[in-house]
Amino acid sequence: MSTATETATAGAPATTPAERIRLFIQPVLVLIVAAAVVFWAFDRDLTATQKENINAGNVATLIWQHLLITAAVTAIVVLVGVPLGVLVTRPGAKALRPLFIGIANVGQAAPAIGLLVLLFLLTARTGFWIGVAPIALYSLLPVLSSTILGIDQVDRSLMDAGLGQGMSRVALLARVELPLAVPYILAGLRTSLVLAVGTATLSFLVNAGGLGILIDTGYKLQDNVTLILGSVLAVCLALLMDWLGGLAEFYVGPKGLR
Amino acid sequence: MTEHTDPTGVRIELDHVSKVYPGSKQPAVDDVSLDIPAGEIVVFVGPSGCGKTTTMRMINRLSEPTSGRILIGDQDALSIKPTELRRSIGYAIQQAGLFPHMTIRQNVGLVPGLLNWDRSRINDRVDELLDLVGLEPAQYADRYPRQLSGGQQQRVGVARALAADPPVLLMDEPFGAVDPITRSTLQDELLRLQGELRKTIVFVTHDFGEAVKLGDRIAVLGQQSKILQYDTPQNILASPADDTVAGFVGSGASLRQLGLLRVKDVALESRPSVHRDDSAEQVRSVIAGSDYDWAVVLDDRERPVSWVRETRLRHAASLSDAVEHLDVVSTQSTLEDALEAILAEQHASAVVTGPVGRYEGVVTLDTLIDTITRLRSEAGSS
Amino acid sequence: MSPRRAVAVLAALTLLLTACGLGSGSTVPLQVGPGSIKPTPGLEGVKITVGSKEYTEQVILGYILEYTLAAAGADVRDLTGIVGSRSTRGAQLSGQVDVAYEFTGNAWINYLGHEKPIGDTRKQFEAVRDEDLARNGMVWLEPGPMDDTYALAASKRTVERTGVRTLSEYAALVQRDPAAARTCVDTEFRARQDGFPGMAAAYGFDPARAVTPILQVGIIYQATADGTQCDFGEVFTTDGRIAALDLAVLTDDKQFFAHYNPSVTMKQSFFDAHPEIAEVTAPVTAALTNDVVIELNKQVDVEGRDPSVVARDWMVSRGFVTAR
Repeated sequence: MSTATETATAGAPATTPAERIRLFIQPVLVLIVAAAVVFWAFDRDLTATQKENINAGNVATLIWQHLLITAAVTAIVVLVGVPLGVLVTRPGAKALRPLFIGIANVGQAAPAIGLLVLLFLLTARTGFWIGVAPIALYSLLPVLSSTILGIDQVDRSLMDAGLGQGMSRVALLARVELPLAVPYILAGLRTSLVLAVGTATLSFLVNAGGLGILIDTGYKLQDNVTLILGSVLAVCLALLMDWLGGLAEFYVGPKGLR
Repeated sequence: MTEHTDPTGVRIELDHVSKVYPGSKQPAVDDVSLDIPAGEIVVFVGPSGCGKTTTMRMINRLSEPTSGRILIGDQDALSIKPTELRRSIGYAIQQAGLFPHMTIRQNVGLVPGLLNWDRSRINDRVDELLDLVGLEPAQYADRYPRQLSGGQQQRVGVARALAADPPVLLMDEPFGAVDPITRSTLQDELLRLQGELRKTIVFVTHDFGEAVKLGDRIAVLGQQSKILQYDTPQNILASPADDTVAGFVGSGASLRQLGLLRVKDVALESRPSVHRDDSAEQVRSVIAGSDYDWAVVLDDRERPVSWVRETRLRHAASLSDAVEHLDVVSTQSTLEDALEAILAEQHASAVVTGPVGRYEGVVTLDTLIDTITRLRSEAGSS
Repeated sequence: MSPRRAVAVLAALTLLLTACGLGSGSTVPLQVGPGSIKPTPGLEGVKITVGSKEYTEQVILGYILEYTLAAAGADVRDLTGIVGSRSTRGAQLSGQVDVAYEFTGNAWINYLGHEKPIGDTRKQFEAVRDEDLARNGMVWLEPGPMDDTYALAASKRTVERTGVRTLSEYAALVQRDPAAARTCVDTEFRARQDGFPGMAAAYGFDPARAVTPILQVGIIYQATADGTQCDFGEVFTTDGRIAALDLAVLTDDKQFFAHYNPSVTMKQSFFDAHPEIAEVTAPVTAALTNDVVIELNKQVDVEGRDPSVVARDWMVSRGFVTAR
């Protein structure tokens, strides 16, 4: 065996040094900015009106609600988007693909406020899930399309090798297609997460709470302190979600692909 | 080509097998019947699109035959569940098809895992196989495919195909994607493995040279996988069945034939030999007393070291002033090497040494031509 | 100035004006003739730009004012529907809008910057009138009876079930059983001192104990009428949906909520030039009651009719003007 011609290539990680630095700096910056805006908002003479919203208990509750909404949306988007993406890439299900992509497109194109109010009118209900469902529909497309893309891009020869060795179609899906699609799914999820956080600022309209209350109050009352507090915190949350998505991409993806 | 150990492979029989794709008029594989003996490498060779890969893929039912029977070791392949069947057939493809997200160990141990072997047995087997294909387990087992070169990945592909010790191996142009030097090395590896394991291997290639080198038998396939000729490489080279096969074999068939025989397989002739410390006078008289105008110069152990021509000896004071450089071939060398040597020397023959380097005689161009003629007539009559 | 320069300056000016979102106004949407409002010499041909905010009620009032002045013979320009209350006020102060209906409580709190409104209607008006004149040179004419303020409402079923008809009774229910008094509010009402917190203080219940789901202001009406999510809901007392959804408005028995009575407002200089406006508009303003305005709002918001038509038809029905 000659070793001269067989030089092994060193394992190169998929992330560049710049991205890894960003992974480290982003959460730190976000926390600094969030702390700064909170300090700025709290450390002043607030009117009684402002104090209705700008108090520790309320702001904490709103952040928590926003996180809950985002978490619920994420869960729905993954639990619906990924299986749908898998379903639509099965041989024989080709006709379904334009249907579901169309639905997801409509969900994203339609104004989120419209979807929220529509759901209320249809169900005559308000609350957490009424505030979550339209946001989930709104944020579905990136995960759905990236799941489809991720599964489609799996090399046909790998599928052939898997089948040829005696893997069942299910085993092939679970052990080859999905793991190789994971980096793409995570990238789509990252986009969905950021979309969700931003759009969740509207969930308050149907009594799901969230930072949108600060933004709306500030805007309606021309109260810049409340408005800035709500907006900046929402942006910080979005960047935090983006960071979490980046972490997931880095750590959850299969090692062999990095 | 292969050593004579007991075969671990089983016989494969294709009985009037056809494949028609829905909606097309012509079958892709038209009524193919073929008997693949146990423990042999049978190479399917043919132009692109002739259906050779489809035919092979019907053996492990990656492509389902539309009619006909396939027997693997006397079992009807069509009666077993496809996934179960495939776990007992090794499968190696051109791009290796190693799963990039799995380690080499996980890749190689895939089929044993599917067969529910226990963990330690799988690990031992993986180590054994990596050793077998020349990749040190400690160094390579826990790496990922992208960290290996193309040739190394192909070796892993072969190891993977052998993992569950299947009696049958299907190989679809497995060495097609690597450079010629690596390909040659891998081919030698496969022959060495086959010498030890003696599996039944169906090997698809479009490279006739590869087919000749590897195959115990070659099936030359034409359009719709029609069998144009199914015979040993020697016979096909010596006597192609029709113009298509001849065209496929291409020019250089004769050279290839020579490559299949060794010097020890043909008759040697003798030429005058002298010793290093003989005087020039002695050498002149030996040459004069023979039918030739040159002599081989041997050392005290009868090993050829140089040669001498009468013309140069005429005016030389001693033997050592007149000798010229000599290239030799051994009895183990192929006739192709002998031909190469003959063409390089100026005495129209190649000097042959035996096992310990002793001078045995020469092989001449005439002998080679006679050999080819004999092969052709033998093939023609078989 | 060279022609090219002139064009450039003109383009820049137009850009500036349109960037501000206000043009020079358009013509009155419908032609009207005199009725009980007769052409007034002092207003004949006078250019008057009428402005209003963009929500339905303000737009209707704006059109009513336009038809009033048009019937009196003025050359009226229409600048109704300006987005944002600050923008309308700003337009008045800068002179782009000459006259507009404003609300007493709104000016008191938002323009004059007081946190607490004045409970007595008349006193509130006078305070606004005097201070706005002194500080900003804005004149306020006599107010109308209509009072578009915050209130709590409930479906008739809820009223029968709980027996709550006044805010005092509501307060008692909240103290007793907050879960039975779920009150749907919007973000603004929940925070404003002249909103829920102030109401809680005035009526003596703990706002922290109350259950206050936050909804978009528009869907509160439907949700309150449904009764499943909201027992009570924040409403505006002149919203058309009160009639359309048959909601019962709770009485503000302690007179907590600010009063928002409509007055015609204009700059001092404009009033001094055209004092006839007071006489001409007075009877119309006096006719603006809550019931009238609820009905007009309903026709636009619920029935989907055009506000300019609804305003004209009402004025015709009252004999103020005649249709043309």
